[in-house]
Amino acid sequence: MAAADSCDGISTSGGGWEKTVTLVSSDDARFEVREAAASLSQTVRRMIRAGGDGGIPLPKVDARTLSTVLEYCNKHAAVPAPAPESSSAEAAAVDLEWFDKELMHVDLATLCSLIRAADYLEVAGLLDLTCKTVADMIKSKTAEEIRQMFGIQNDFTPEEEEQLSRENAGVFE
Amino acid sequence: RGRGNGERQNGGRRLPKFDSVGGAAVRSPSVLVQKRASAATAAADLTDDLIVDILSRLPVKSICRFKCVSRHWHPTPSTTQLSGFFYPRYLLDHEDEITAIPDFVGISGAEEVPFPDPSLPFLPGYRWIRSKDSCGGLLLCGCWKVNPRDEFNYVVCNPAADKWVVLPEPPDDAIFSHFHVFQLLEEDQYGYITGLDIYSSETGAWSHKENGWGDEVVPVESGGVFMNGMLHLLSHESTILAVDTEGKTWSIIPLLERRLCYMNTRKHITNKISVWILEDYSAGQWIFKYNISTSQLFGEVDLMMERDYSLITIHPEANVVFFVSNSEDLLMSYDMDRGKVRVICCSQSLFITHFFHIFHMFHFFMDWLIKTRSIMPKVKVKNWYPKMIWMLSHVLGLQLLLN
Repeated sequence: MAAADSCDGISTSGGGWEKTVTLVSSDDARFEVREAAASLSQTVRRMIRAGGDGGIPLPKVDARTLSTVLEYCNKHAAVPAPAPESSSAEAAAVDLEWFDKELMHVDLATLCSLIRAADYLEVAGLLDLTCKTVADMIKSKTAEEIRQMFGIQNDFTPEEEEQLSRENAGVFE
Repeated sequence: RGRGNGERQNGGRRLPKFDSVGGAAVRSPSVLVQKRASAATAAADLTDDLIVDILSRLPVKSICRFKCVSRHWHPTPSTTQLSGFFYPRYLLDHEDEITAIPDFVGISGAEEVPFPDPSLPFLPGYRWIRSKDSCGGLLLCGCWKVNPRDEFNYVVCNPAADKWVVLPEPPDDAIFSHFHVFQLLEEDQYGYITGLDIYSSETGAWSHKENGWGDEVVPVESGGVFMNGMLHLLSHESTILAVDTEGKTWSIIPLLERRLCYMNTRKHITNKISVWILEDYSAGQWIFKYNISTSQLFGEVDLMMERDYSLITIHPEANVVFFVSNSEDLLMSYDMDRGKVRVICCSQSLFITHFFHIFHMFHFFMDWLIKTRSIMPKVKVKNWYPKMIWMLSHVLGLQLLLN
């Protein structure tokens, strides 16, 4: 509590009586977020506890990425504790699943930024979601397609590559 | 790795919100133009851990393909060996006493064995070492020695690291076990289950649990499978018996049809193997997946399971069945998606494999997954289901807890 009081980033929003925190992206955009939502990030949660002035700086996340992360956090923090087997809990789960799916309709570069951000901010659910999405995207690609998608140089010698593909010609070929 | 984080070309730009019904194409054109360039740096920015996290969610087939992408994407040697089978080899020692040592055959097609010596020479002084089960890169063996005294131990070892632990004596003469070992207790007359002894490596002790499955339950000899933190056994009543490592949750999952167990032949049509998959674990929903004819496997029709061939297992990630042809001493695989048969090895020592329980599939790969997964304690039910089909030797099971 004492730490929270000393933090300028925390204020009480009018009407909702919900505590908010201010997060500052690498490019100095400020985001006011409900503390409950921001706390989905373990990194932010620790920083809230530690206290500080003028908002919580997140030098590794740009505004564009951070806004998507916060969109995720806001939605997921809004979900009440699940009352299993009730129809409303089921509807909420379906809604959340739909939301996640929509949120993942972005290009690969954005996804990779989100993965890095989720990793840095320690938002476990988002990290899981984004990694899974990338995995689904690349699942049926060939090695060459992967190189193109990610702009990766093939650093194997032709001999090594042949050796590798021979190894792979196991039970799966 | 380590290219810095500051170079996001579109950093700070406000982008249109996602169209709630549209797909990926609703982005503004300027972003699409930038896609190739920024995607190129995107992967380079991902740390090894993150790449592993992504790769760990892929099926084995994809991972194998992606090993060729670049060195960065090539997992370290200890994780590339997928799996293989342990089986016993019988020899005469210098005193003409028969001994058993484990041997290993890999299924990846690579020549090298993933560890120095599959006979596990680091286990001291045993005359018999028989693999019993394996999970997560660990192997459970039953070991017997005569010197300095007649002694039988269950040993859990990591063949790649020369590390092992000898389990303490169970309260009775058989066993089970961070891992758990289960011993089923049966009454003598009909083999009804009366209870379980569970060994936990965390406590280093056995605990006894009374049977929670109801009366007159008899498991099939073929042994158990671990999934979702539970031991699963097939029963003679055509159900799956499940129990957790605490002995607190006991459940019975019905099979879809009598006499039809995961991967099996129908009563009167022995030349057809049906493969059923439990698609939705919580709902107990089975779906029919494949029909395999023995003519596809051996080019012959009148073959009987058990007599002429034995099913060993299904690869936990790929739709590949492993089986032994008893007449020709062949260990073979069958890719159910592609309909391709492959001979993995041909060996005289396979003559002992009239019972499929001799082989224990050994997954290095799973170890890798488990390590990664410990960050995200979510079990992917779908990718683990084929482990249900493991038919192992005994009432013994072995599990690595995910956390």
